[in-house]
Amino acid sequence: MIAALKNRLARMDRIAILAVPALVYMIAIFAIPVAGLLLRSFSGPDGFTLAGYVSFLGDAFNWRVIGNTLRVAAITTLICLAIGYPTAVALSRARGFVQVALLVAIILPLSVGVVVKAFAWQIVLRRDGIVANILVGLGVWDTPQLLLFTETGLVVGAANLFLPFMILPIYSVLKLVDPNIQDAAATLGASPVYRFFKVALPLAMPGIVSGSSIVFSLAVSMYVIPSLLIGDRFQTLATLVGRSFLLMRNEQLGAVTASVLLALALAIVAFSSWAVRRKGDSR
Amino acid sequence: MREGEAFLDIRGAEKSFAGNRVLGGVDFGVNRGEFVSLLGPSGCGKTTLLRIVAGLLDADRGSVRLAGSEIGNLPTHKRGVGVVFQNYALFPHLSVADNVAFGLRAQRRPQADIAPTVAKFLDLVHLTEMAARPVRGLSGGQQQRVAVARALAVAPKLLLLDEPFSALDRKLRETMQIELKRLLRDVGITTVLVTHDQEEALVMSDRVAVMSRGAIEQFDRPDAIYLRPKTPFALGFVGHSTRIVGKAGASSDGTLAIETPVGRFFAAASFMGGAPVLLAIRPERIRINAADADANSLDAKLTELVFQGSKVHLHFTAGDAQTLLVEAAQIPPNLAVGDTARLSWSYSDTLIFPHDGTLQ
Amino acid sequence: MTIRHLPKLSRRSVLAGAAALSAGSLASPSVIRAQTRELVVGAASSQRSWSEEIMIPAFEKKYNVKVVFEGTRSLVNLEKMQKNKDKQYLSVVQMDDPVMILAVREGLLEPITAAKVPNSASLKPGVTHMDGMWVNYLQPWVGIAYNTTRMAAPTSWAEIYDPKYKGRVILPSLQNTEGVMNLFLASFLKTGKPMAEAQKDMDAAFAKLKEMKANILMAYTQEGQAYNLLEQGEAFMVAGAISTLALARKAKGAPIELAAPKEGTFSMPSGIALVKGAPLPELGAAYVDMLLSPEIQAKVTEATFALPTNRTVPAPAGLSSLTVHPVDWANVSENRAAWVARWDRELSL
Repeated sequence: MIAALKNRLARMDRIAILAVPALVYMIAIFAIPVAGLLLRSFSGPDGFTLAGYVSFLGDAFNWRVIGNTLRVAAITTLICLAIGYPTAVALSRARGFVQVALLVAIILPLSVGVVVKAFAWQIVLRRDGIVANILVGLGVWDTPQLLLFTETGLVVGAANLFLPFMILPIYSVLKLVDPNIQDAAATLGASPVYRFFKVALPLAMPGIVSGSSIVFSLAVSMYVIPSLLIGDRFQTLATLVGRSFLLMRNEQLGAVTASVLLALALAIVAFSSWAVRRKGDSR
Repeated sequence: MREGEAFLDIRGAEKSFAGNRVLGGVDFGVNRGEFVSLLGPSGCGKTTLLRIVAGLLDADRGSVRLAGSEIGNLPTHKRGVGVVFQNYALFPHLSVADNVAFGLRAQRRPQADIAPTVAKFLDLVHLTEMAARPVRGLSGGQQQRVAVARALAVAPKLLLLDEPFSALDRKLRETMQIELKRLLRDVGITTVLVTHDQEEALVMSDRVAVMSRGAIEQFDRPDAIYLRPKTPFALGFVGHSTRIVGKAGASSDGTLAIETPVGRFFAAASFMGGAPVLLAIRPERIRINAADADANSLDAKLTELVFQGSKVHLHFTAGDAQTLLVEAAQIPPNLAVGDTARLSWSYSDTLIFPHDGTLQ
Repeated sequence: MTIRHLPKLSRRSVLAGAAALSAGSLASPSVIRAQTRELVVGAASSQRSWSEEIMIPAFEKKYNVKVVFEGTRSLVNLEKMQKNKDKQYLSVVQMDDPVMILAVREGLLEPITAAKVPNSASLKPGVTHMDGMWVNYLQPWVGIAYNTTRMAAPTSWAEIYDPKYKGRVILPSLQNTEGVMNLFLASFLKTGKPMAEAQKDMDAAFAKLKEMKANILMAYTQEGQAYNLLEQGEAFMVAGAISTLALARKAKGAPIELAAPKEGTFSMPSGIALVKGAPLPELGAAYVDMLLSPEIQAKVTEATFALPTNRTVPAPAGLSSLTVHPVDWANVSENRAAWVARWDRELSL
C-alpha cells in the first residue's frame, strides 16, 4: 500500500513539472509584487503599522468609493449575465456558418482596444447619439438625457466590453451538455420554466460561476474604462489606487487601497462560488 | 375512443426537412399494452416518427391521437409520453434517485408519494443500492436502467424507446433486452421501440413495423414479417435470403411457373404472364440432396462454407452467377467445397415479389 | 536613471584617460563623439518638436555644438539630477514650475542672472521665479475653448456657470495641472479678491464650483477625449483649455476657438533652469539666452500658440491686453492632494 502511494506521488510529481513554468512566471510577475504591495500597505515609518488601514477605513468617503466600486461591478456582472446567458445558449445551439459567425462576432471585438471602444460608446451615448434618438423616438424620453458620464453609461459600456468573458465560459460548458437532456426533462412532464430552473440553469452553473467571477473581477478593478466613460467625478478603488501612485505619490495609501480592493474582490468571488457550489451539493 | 381507433393512432403523418421528405403520410396504430417496434435503416423516418409522437417535433400534416384524444398540438410535457433516449440523457447533476424523482417533482405529485414511488421503481430495475450515487459513474447498463425507471416512474400512457441498446455491448444487450421486455410486460405499458437491429425487433416485439424511405412497408407479427415479407425491402432487411430474378410464366390453380436463367420454379402465387418477378427463399428452407417430390430444385456448386457455431452457412453458385445461401444445423457429411449438390425447397417456401429491375 | 549610465561612464572615461580602456569598445564611439562638444538638455517629450525644428538647429549652428535633447517628463529630469548630483551631465532642464520648486529645495539649480543670460533682463514681470532660479520661456495660456457652431464667444469665466449650459461644460481633472486654475478662478469670481489672494481661499472656490455642478459634463484626465466631445458638439466649452492644444486643433480645422476671458488667465508651467555643477556652463547659459531671445521667442510662440515671455516680442493678435496672473506653485504643490480629496467629496457625481 505504501509502495502504491509512493508510486502515485511519483507520477503526480512528474505531471506537476508541467506546471512549473507557469508557477515560476506567476510567482515572478504576480505573487512577489502582490506580496510587496501587501507588505508596503502595512509598513510605516516605524515598521509594522495598521495606520494606513485605520485612516483609510475611517474615512466615510472611502466607503462611498467601495460602494461605487462594488455596485458598478455587480450591476455590470448582472447585465453581462442577463445578455450573455441567452447568447451562450444560442451559440451552443447554432450550427455551421451561423455558429462560426457568432463566435467571430463575440471574439473579434476583443481585439479592439478599450480606448477605441470607449470613444465609440461616447458617440453612441451622446445626447444626439443613437441611443438617445431611439429612446426619444420610442417616447421613453421627452428630450434627450445625458447618458454619457453617468453611472448608467459606465455600466453599459463596461458590460459591452466584458460581455465575451461571460459568454465564452458559459458557452464552453453548454456545448458539452447533451441536448437530449432538455427533451428528456420535457417528456417527464417538466414545464419550460421548471426545465430552465431545474435543468438548464444547474447545468450551466459552472460556466455562469466562472463567467461571473471573471467579469466581476474585471469590473471591480477596471481603471481605463471609468476614466474614459465617466471621468474624474466618479471614483472607484482602482482609480484611487492609480491616483495615489501616479499623482499623489503616496505609496502607502495606494498599497492600502489596492489591498482593500484585492481582498474585497477575492472575498466576493470566493464566497459566491462557494455558495453556488454548496447549493448544488445540497440538491 | 372512436370506432376502430387504436390506443396510439397516427394518421397521415408527414414531415419534411428543408424540402426533403422524411415521412410521407404514415398511418400507424398501436394497441393498449402492446410492444411494437419501428424497424428500419437510419434515415428511414423511424426516429422522426418517434419524435413526432413525443412532441419533440411537429408533423407538417396528420394527426396523432393517444388514448382517444388528439395530442398532436400539445407540448411535450403535457403529452404523457415517456422516452428512453439512445444515450439515456440522464441529468448529470442529479443522483440516481433524484433522476427517477425528477418527473414526479416536475409534475408536482404529492410529496408523500414521491419517495415510495422512487423506491418502487429503483427496486424494479435493481438499483436500490445505487440510489444516492451520482449518475456520472454508472455503467452503461445501469444508466439504461435509471433511464427506464425515470421514464416509468411518472406512469406515462405510452413509452418510447429510442435505440436503447445501441450503446451496450452485445452480451449485455441480449440480457437487457429480455429483462426489459419482462419488466415492461409486468408494468403493462404500451411501448414503441425504435431500432435498426432486426433481431432486437423480432425478439422483443408483439408486432414490427418495417420502415423504408418515410413509409411503413409492412406491419405484422415478427414471424409473419420473417416468413411472409410483403415487399423485397422487408425481405432484405429482416433475415437472409437467396434471390433469383425471373419472369412469370403460365399459372393455374394458384400455382405460378417462374422462368429463370437457372431453371423453372413454381410458387403458390398468381402473376400476369411475362411480368418480371423476384423469387426468394430463406436459407434454412433450402435442403441439400434431399429426396423431395413436389419441390423446386437445382444443382449448384458449393463455393464457401461458413461455420457459425450453432449453425452453418453454405454458399452455392448455380449457372453463371446465381448465388444461393443455405443454412444448415451442421456441416453436411460428404460435401466439400467444389462439390456439386442438389438444392431443393418446397413451393410454399418460394416467395414471389413483383420486380422493378433492381435488387436491394 | 539607469539609462544614463553609459554616456556618464564614457564621459568619465574621457576625463580619466587610461580608465577608458576598462570600458572597452563601448567607450570608443563616445570618445569620438565627445570631441565635438555636447550639450545635454533635459526636457519633456511634448517639447521635442519645436525644440528640434526651431531652437536646436539655430543653437547648434551658432555655437558649433551638438545638443542632445532628452525628452521625458519633469519628474524624471528631477530624478536624473538627484542621482547625478556629484557629476551632473544635464546642463539645462526644462521642467514644470512645481517640480522646479523641488529642484530649488534640493539645491540642484544655478540662478539665471542678467550677466550670464542677457535676455533675462527683458522678461515680463512674473515669469522670473525665486530670484532667478528658473524662468518661464513661454506662457501656454489657459482659456475657454468653445464650439463655434454651438455658441458665441464667451467673454468671462463666469459664463461656464450659466445654467443654460447644463451638462455642456468640460473641466480638467484636478489631477491635470490646468485643473487647479479653475479653483483660483472660482475663488476669484466668488470673492472678488485679487488673484493672488483668491488662490488661497479654497472654501470660496469650492462653494463657487458647486454652483456649476449641473453644468459639468465630465472632468477629463485625457485631453484628447475632451476635445473630441467639444468638436462633436456634445460639449460646448472646455474651461481650462491650454492654448497649445486648443489652437493646434483649431489650426487643423476643428470648429473650435479659444476665448481669452476678460478676468485674465493663467499660464501653464514651462520653466527653464541651469543645472548647478553642470558641464559646459557657458553654453548652457547661452542656450537659455537664445530661447529667451526675441527672434526665437517669436518663432516658438507662433509654433506653439503660447504667449512670449520676452516683453519686447509682441503678443499674438488680440491677446496684447490679456493679463496672465502668476500661479503660486508652492501653494499648489503643498495643497494639491487636499484639493483633490475635496473635489472627490464635493463635486463627484
